[in-house]
Amino acid sequence: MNKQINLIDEIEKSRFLIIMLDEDIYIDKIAEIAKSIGKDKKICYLCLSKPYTDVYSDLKSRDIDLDRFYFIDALSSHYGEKKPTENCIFLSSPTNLSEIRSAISKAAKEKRCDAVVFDTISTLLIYQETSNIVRFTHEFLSEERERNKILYLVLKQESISPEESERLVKDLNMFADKTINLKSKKHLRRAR
Amino acid sequence: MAKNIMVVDDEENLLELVRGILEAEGFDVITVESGEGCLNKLKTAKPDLILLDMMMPGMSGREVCEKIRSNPLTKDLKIIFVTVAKFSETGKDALKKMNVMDYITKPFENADLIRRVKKQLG
Repeated sequence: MNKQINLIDEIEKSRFLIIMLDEDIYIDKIAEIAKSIGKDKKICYLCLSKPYTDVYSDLKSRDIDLDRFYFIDALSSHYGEKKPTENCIFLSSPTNLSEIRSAISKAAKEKRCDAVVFDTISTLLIYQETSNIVRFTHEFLSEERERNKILYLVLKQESISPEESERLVKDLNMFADKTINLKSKKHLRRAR
Repeated sequence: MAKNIMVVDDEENLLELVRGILEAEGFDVITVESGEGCLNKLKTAKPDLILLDMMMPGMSGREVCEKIRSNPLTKDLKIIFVTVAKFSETGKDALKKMNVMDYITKPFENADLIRRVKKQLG
């Protein structure tokens, strides 16, 4: 069943895509997502799961063209003050949803980003109630759609409970073009 | 007899605005500030229509709707969702499955709200 999902096709045709990933395929699939977003598109990449430097190295080692990326790192400042670089801004905390929203809006306008990769929405659930995250995403989505931006929302399955995951996806799926669930081979073998 | 509409939204200003608009059209209006409040109120009230906000703290509009549909006493109530973001095609299919009659996108025109409400209440 997993084979039937063509991630590249879905990325090309969707304007709001929810991508559910297993932990052990996460980095490879993130790279595949990054590679599949149209070459003419500037990408705003929100780092919530890993700091910017780690994401940058992961993508670079997989031959991703990083010149078209602008990063928003909501994690690193937690470990000490960071100064913005040419392609990354550091936020004060992953708990500050208004700051995240405003940074994405600014990136969309000033850096002319066409697409936003939200890596990962599940991280926010560590700090906030599911309903707050759904509401945040809902309002954020409405704003970005007005600006004609494309949104890829990544969710790591193991990092939240199946109940929370189901609740989040059911609510957000009402507004998404599609939700795709990418399972690792290990997981598929277990399911058989 | 005036038709009764329950408006569910966590934004107090919006509740009062919608109350004003609908009362001026001759409807009786009950306002509730949460999904849980809506379900509690439905134990004693039987509105002709519910205007249900999709995104509220606690239970979402979808969750409230599912609870309403799973209760034999409330399963046939007419519901219109109120939302900030537009529903996708997937979402519109989900609305049909939940038997939700219509949806209104915020911000809305007063005339559009009245027209949609009247359409449902025939």
